[in-house]
Order: sequence, then C-alpha cells, then structure tokens
Amino acid sequence: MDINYHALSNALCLGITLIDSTNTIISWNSWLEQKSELDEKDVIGKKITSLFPHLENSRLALAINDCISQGHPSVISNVFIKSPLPLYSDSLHKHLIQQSITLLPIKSNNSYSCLMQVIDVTASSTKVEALEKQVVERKYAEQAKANFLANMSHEIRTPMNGVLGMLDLITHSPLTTQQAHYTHLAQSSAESLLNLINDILDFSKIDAGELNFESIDFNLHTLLDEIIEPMALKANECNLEVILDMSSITNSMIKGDPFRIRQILINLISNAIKFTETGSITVLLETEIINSEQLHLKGSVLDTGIGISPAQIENLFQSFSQADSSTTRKYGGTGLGLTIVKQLCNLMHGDLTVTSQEGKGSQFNFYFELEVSDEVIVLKPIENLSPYSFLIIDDNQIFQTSLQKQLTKWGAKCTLCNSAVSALQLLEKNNESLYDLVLIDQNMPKINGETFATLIREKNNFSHMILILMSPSLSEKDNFLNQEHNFNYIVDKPITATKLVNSINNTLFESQLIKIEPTIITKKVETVRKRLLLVEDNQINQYVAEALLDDLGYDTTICENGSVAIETLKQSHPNEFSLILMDCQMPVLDGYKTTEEIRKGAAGEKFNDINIIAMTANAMKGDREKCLNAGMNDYIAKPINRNEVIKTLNKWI
Amino acid sequence: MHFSELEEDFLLELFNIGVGKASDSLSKMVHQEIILSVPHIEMISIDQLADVVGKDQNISCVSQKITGRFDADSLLLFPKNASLQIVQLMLGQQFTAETIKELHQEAFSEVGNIVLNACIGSLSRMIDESFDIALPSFDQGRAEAILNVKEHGDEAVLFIKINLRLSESDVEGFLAFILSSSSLDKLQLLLKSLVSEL
Repeated sequence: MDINYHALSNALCLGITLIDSTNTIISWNSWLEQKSELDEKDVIGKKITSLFPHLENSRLALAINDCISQGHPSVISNVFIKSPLPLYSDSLHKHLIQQSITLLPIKSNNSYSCLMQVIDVTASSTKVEALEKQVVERKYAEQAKANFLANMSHEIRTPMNGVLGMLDLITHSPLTTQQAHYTHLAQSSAESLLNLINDILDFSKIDAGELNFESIDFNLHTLLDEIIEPMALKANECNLEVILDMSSITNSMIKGDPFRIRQILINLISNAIKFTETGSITVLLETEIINSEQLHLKGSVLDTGIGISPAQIENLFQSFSQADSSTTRKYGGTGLGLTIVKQLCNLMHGDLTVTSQEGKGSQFNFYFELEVSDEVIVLKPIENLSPYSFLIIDDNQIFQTSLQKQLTKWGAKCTLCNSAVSALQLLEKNNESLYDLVLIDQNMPKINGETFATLIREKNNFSHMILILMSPSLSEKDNFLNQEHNFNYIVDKPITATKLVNSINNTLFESQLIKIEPTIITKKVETVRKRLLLVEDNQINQYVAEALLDDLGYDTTICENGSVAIETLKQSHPNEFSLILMDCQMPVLDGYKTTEEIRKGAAGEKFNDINIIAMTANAMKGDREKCLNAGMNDYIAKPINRNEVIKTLNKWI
Repeated sequence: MHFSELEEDFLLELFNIGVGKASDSLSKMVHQEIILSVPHIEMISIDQLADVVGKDQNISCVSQKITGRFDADSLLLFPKNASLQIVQLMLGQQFTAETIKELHQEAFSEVGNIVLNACIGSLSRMIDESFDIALPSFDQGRAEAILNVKEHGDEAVLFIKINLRLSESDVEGFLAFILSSSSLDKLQLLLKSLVSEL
C-alpha cells in the first residue's frame, strides 16, 4: 500500500518539521501551521532563525546545528525553557503552548537532516504548577499549625503558672488540716492538667512532624539519678519498690536529647507504678555500641502489675486508647503516653515493644539510637574493688542480683544472703569477718537491718567490717539517724550507680565518718537579704514570683518590660541587684532584646555581666538556645517549680 | 588495561574540551555559570565502576548508545541526591523539593543529553569519524541494578570522573563508556595511533 507521508504528518497531533543539512526548513506540518499561524508555503526554504529571529544563538538553534552537523539527537524538555517556539493554543486567546522538543538526525548521503518533533505539554506543566501551589499552601498551613502550637503552649502555660504558683504559695502558708488537704488535691489536679496539656502538645507536634531532637552531650547516670528519685518517692507512696540495674551501661557520657529520654523513662515508669498494686518495678538499662559514632540505649521496665491481655496489646500503642477504656476512668491519663513513647523511640530509630501476662505483670522493652560523646566519663569507685569482699543482704532476689552484677563489674567479690538470719549464721560460722563491706537492707522479715547492725556491733571480731544500710526511702531516712553509731553509711533506695559509688568511696576509700548525701535541695541561708530584678509583664506571674522569692529570702524589684528594666538599672547602684529574672515575651521590649541591650551596655557598664536567668512559658525546643544566644546565663521553664528556682538561684548567686 | 601517561593526557584533554562545550550550553540555558571539569580518567570494569559509585547507592543515570567505528553505551551517572541538587540549583529557588522531584527526570535527562552529546562530539571530531547516536534514556535505582553488574560485571569501562560546579556547590559525578571487548581493542588501537601522531 502506498503511504502518503505528507498526509500522515498532517494528521498528527504534534508538530513535525524537517530541516535539511543546509539548515533550511523543507516541511512544516498542519499542526505547526495552525499553532504558528504560518502556512507551510511561507516557511519552506527559510531558516528557522530567520523565521523567528529571537532563536538566534538559542539552545534550540544550537541543538539543530549539532544535529545537522554532527548527527546529535537532542531532547529539549520544557523544564528550563518553557516555550522555545512562538506557538499558540488558539488564535483568539493567544496562550503560548509549552513545548517539549525532540531533534532526531536523519542520515542521507553523508549528511544529516534534522527531524524536529514538537509536543504540547501545557497540560502536564499545568499539573506541575498545581502541585507546586498545593505544596506551598500545605507548607503554609503546616507552618501556621506549628505556630499555633507554639502559641498554645505559651498561652496555656502562662495561666497554669499562675494556678500552680498560687497553690504553692498557699501550701507554704499556715493552713488547717482540711485546707491543706484541699490544696494538695487542687495542686495535684493542676499538675495532672499540665501533664495532659504537655502530652497533647507533644502528640500534635509528633503528628505534624514538628518534633525535633536535640543533640547534646550529657551524663546518663546523672540523668537517671534525677529521673529515678521522684519516681521512687511516688512508688514508695504506693508501697512499691523500684529496682535499678545499670551495670551494663558502659558509656556514662552520651550525646542525644536528654529531655526526650527522660520523657520516655518517666512515662514507662509512671505507667508501671500506675498499674501495679503490689511488688516491684525493675528498670534495666544498657548501652550497646554500634560503631565509633553511634550507640543503642536499650532498656526494659518490668512490673508485677495487672498485666495486659493479648487483645489489648494490639491496641496499646494506638492514640487515645488505653488497654481498656474503663482504665482511663480508673487510672486517669490521656492514653497518649505509650503512643508518644513509641513514636519517640521510632523517631530516634528505635522501637518500643511489650510482653505481658495478665495478672502477673508486663515488660516494656525499648531501644533507640544515640551518638557516642567525645567526652569519656567512667563511673566507678576511686579504686578497683578486686581486693575487697562484699556481703549483700536483701530479701529481694532481683535487687540482690543487680547489685552483685554492678559490684562484680568493678572487681568486687560478692556473697549474697537473702536474710539477716542466714547472714548472721554465715558470719558466725567463720567467727571472724571474711567481708570488708556489708550492704544490708532495712526492711526484711524476722531480723531487719537495724537489729542486724546492733547484733554485729556487739561482737568485737567484726568491728572493722563496714556496714552500709540501704534504707527504703529518703523520707524515712531520719528514722535511722540514731543508728549512726552502728552504720558507716546510710544510702536510700533505689540505689543508682552514682549512689553506690558514693557509698563505697565514702567508706572504703575516704574516711569512716558517717555521711548522708545532701539530696534534699535546701535554700541558702542569707544573712543579708539580696535584691533581684524581676522583669515580667503578667501581673499574676509577678505576684507569684515575688511571693516565692520573698519566701526564699530575696527582695524583688519588678519591671513590667525590658525597657523599664533598663531604665531602672541605669539609675541603680552597681551592687543593687544580685541577679535578673527575665520573662521572654513582653510588650515594648522583649526579654531577648533586653538581654542583648544589657550585654551591650545599655544599662551602664556596671551591669554588663550581671547574671540573667530566663523565665519563660515557651517550652518548645530551641527556646533554651535562643535564651543563651541572647546572652542569658540560664533558663527556668514556666510553670516555675520551687526546687528548680532554688537550685538555679543557688547556682548563680 | 592501563593508559600511558601520554594517552591519559590525550583523553583528559579530549573530554575536557567536550565538557567545556557542555558547560557553555548549560550555563546559557539557565543563565548562571556552570563549570564542568574532568579531573581523572581510567579503564576499569563494570564491577569496579559499581564499587566506585557505591553498589547500594541510589543513582540517576542518563545513557545514549553510540554505534560506529566502535560501539559503546555512554552513561552520565550522579548519585540521586546530587542529581536532584543539580536540578534544584539550575532552577533556582522558585520550586519546592516536591516539584523538583517531579521535574527531575526530564531536567536531568536534558542535562545528560547535553553533556553526553558534547563528549561524544569531542570524541568523534578527534578520531574524525561520526557515530550513530541514540536518544537519551533515563534510569534511576541502585547502582548494581542499573549497571547490570550481575551479567556484565567483567565488561570494560572507560571511566571519567567529572566535577560540576554551580553556585559555589561542587557535585561529583561520573561519565562512563561501556565497551564490548572488540570495541575496546578498536579504541586502544585508535588511541595508540593518535598518540603516536602527536
């Protein structure tokens, strides 16, 4: 069959033109005629650059040249150049057609002609533009959401600060028993509310992908000490024992986000306490090196609580679902805690899993990735413990084993006894002590720690033996103070690695004096009351802070914004103020700018280096850095916590 | 096989002229300076090429087959992220990452086409022979799969490192001519005679 190629090319829905080796157009199909509004007869015999002078030296003209001179095929997408040829969609509206052009060399008699195909890609290009618009709009929306969250975080915390601050002040004033009880209830409700708000904000942040992680060097043992203490107090109130096993932590210094690690541990431990009526909570932690830069922090939280059924486990990590919806009513909480913990682990390239037996207890296992810190700190006693023998007396086997594991790591030889009775038998059998140091639990059936000590101290042949009492909790420690003469040291449970090192250092390696670690934060007793400058715009917060500071022994001068503060400083004696407490968001001049100004000398050279502590309800990540970058020395997050304030003021005054 | 110092210099010169021409075209196209250079050239196997690129590395590849005095598959390879970066830089800040991903294949094919054409052109001028050149095709994925290491691991590759400098960013990519053994012999002979004529 005869094919009429000319007719065929005219039937196509794309532009076809042939340019010969002398760069002359020899065909121009109907599609091109229609879109360019140029008839084939007016085009043939002309060069494309004389038809369209703007193409001189253009990418298209050069590519055509390459095609006819060297046989190079070319694709000219519409990404970089939208419409090389002046082609229009219709004569009426004159919309430029977006084009994708292909140049193909056609070889004949040792020379090349160029076959040019022009495709209308306006439609797909419009799609890309629509996509771009969508993406941009979505980003704006996400940004707006993130800003809203940041603002909410601030807005909600400000009144909460007022509520918690006022309640704290009331508890420190004379109250009847009933009033104290009511206040305590109001206080714990307000704290729960704050926790709920924090959970919801965190959850929304994770959901919006707005949650960022810090990467800072920190001491894992110090962090654990801080986390465990309040948790243990809470557990003690419910008659539960918290047991720690940190013997497999090889790196004390690690790099990561301590705030998030704290959040994970506190969530899991509080959960365990919440759902356990009797028994103990065991926390196991270990570090596992992946390579020279990364490590895994692995842990388990085991409880002897109500357990979770297999069906409930399936829904456990889903947002807003507790194992049983009735648990929300019984145990409180948003049901977001475990979801947040799992997501936090996932975001740090790890995971959270659970195994459980109903009625027996649950075990939550987690791991996540952290960085290896450049700083190296190894937590261990002053000297290696290999010359020393330890006797551990405790009726809890899990605790005994964890203590033994830790001490063995440091070189000690350990003997375990699960009661004071068997320990006494063991000691009497040898008639002289084979042990340098005895760690004994206070609460044991039949003979408790105290009685054991009295019995031992009566015997002369055990006089050199160091006795360390492991008291059940800090709050009960006072009861044992009259036991000082019998014990060389008293350490309160739960025994963290730091506390264990301290008790060994203070007995085996330093002196034989009785020392009790100062774990209670106390305010300094000042002979002369010092004056602080408080820069804060919210009246309730002004009142809360002033009253709290007064209670702590400080006088306060209040300025309602940064600019007033600078004026006040200018007119003050250099020793007038010991420190400045600075709110961050204020009208007229905010805390950041005020600090920058003061550092530059706006309040006079005398105050250039005054310590400035930020006090802000902004609890979003990066706020701390923002404060420090502005020149502030430290940071207290609102709602302000009494102990936090004492600690920070002690540090800087 | 190894190149003599002279042969290596000769090829470096040849490909630098090629990418130089491509630099001009690219710069003109996006109205900003793009500098391409060839710092290194050697003969290796496909297997080694995959190692250099990183077997598990995600790469973007534009290839054009050439046939003539000898046959080869010419490839421009960039790590996928680097190729996205190139497109982003060439287009400027007007688009979001999502749109860049959408435009990436078309844009990178065009860039590859320009660079490969220029280098093939330079090669054919040098040996005074023309090649039949196919249209570019685009591929993306793990280097091992794209280079078909399993089946063609032993085949010879004329391997050319290229640097692309754009808006103060340096991006490293690779140019490769995969040759069958008969084509390799032909190229070697050709190269020897060209160098001896110098």
